[in-house]
Amino acid sequence: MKIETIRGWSFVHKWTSLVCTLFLLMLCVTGLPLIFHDEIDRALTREIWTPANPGGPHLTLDEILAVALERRPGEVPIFMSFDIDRPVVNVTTGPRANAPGAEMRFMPIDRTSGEPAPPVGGEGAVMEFILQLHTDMFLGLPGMLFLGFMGLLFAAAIVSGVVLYAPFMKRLDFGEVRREKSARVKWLDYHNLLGVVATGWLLVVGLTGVINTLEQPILDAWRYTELADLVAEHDGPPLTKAPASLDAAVARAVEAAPGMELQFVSFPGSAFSTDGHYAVFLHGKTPLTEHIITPALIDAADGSFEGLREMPWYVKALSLSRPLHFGDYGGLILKILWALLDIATIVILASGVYLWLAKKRIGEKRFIEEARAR
Amino acid sequence: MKSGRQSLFRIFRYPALIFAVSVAGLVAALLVAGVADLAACAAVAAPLIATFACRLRRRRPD
Repeated sequence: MKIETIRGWSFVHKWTSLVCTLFLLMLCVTGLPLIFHDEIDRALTREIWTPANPGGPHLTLDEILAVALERRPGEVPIFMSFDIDRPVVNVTTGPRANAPGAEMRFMPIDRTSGEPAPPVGGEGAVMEFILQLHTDMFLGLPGMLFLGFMGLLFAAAIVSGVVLYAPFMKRLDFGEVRREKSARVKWLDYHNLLGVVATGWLLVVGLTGVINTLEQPILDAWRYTELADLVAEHDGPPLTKAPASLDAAVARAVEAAPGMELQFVSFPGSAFSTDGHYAVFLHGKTPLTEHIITPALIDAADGSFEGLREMPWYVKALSLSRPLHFGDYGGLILKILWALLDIATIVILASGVYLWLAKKRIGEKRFIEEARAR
Repeated sequence: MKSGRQSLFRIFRYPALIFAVSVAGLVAALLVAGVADLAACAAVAAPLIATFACRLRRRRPD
């Protein structure tokens, strides 16, 4: 590769990296505790919570809903979700079904007694803070899209880094680190080694992170196209009488979708349903399909099954990009590997900044010559 | 250390192998469960294993 070509790729690598490095460092540092969010949430829960009647019969969903509405007079149900590790049902209520997030209230309820249960992670919300910093830097959609753009720059930095790897390795063995040379050369070799071996993981985590930043536009697109079609096919007047049994609605949805199980329920009038339907969201039972949700519409007036529609490809891509980004889909071993690769990324980023400063100090020409020399 | 210049194939053969193995591991961990998950994790660990292998190789006396 000619020196001019190297300079060109070096320019791309330098600027795409420099612009995103600070944000990438923030994402790596905040991402580290997020990998272990389940474990940290459990540790942060002040007291070990046990259900009132361990092993006892569970209250029905209708009973849980009645308990929740009794505690929040004047409010309506919006969502109902279920903890995986404990017999707890989470009921989200608000002044109206289409209330914005700030007006929603979240209520975990012990399914064995109807008593309130502590939220996972306690009240401290440390992980909530870290997650929001990692997701949008407290800037909402603009923050998410900005971080998505940083992710694209990061992908460009990885690709240009791979291209630059070749000229610097012409005379070196794979994995060779020239410790006998200057600190600059030694750290260049570490930067190249860690960068090239982690390329696959970096690209997967980086690009799935970009997809995750598009969560809101993707869900909006689904809501205004696919869900709107489903609603248009089945929409009717808003519910005027007492709704049909929630348990029966969920049972009908599960019956209509063999091989799937309940994930959450969106109540009539909420953002993910129609004015007259329960939207029962189900997910698969295999390692792959458990990340993909499918909504079933149940008429809230008479409990009849109205329809089931698979999510479009772009929502499926979003659903699969979440586990691939956070690394929480293969148990503790995978989480530990994710953390080690995250630390390796921090080393790559920090060494990149060090190399940029070193190059500024001695000049690009001398740096390239020094780096290419044996 | 090589005395001459290496071909692109020689330069990229190990990185390409590690890339393929680690990406296959990432996808496989999403598709399988149980014992197969361990194999997938081992594949995901390929970059770390390769780094430590390189370090060990360099430390070995000639």
